[in-house]
Amino acid sequence: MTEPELTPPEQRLHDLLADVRDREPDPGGPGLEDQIMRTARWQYVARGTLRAVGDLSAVVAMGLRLLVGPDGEPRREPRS
Amino acid sequence: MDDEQLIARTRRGELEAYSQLVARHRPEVHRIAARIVGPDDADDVTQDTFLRAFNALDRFRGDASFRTWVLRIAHNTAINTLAKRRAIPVDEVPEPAGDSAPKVRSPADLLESGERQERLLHKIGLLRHDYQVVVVLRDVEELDYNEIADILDCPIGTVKTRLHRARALLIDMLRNNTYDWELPA
Repeated sequence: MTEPELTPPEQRLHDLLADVRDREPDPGGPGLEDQIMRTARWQYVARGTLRAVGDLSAVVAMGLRLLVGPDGEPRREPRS
Repeated sequence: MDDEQLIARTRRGELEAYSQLVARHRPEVHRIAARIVGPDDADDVTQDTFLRAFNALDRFRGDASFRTWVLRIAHNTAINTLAKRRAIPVDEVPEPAGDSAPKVRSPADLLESGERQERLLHKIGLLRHDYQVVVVLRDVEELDYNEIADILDCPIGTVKTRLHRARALLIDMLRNNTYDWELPA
């Protein structure tokens, strides 16, 4: 999309901002990418562990529920 | 290898692929972060951005490019960072040295060593956060309007309105408070 025509003050501002455009800010510490990936790896492992613990808890809870019944009472065979 | 392939590999647990995505997009994210929140917080914003993106990657649907998506996260992270800072009334904000020393410096000195850039960035930083962002994305980074609308998740008309108001305020500030307006560009 093209820029609508700039007014003279806007053009002046655009020219002034050329100084800012031309200056590259400090690109960041050399270890920044390593730091990001170290944290990402740690979080990935933690997320996997938490997911496994959650799955295990769900299985245990389902097993208990089958054993004792939904209302906490031991299941009884219906009388015939 | 393009971004889509790297995303697919990352989703399969190949973190090396994500490190390539970080290496590819980190310079732009860091540069924009530095221009919005300043150099001191740019590393933190960049790190938060890529970790949020990593943890939300399963929700990335590919409606926009990965670059636009990650810049949207960077924008939100930067805005949160600005919002956490203490609000300082404009008249209490100290001017950078370049503005306060014109009587002992010649105009030629003022043109030197990035002082004007410092002053301009300072003025941009005084704008409302949403105005500040559109000025950085459009007038400094020179992204197109569609891209900016995608990043800000708002209509193009809103981008144009904000930009128009932001420029008017910036022009006012520059006219009233600095010598820069009168100096040759």
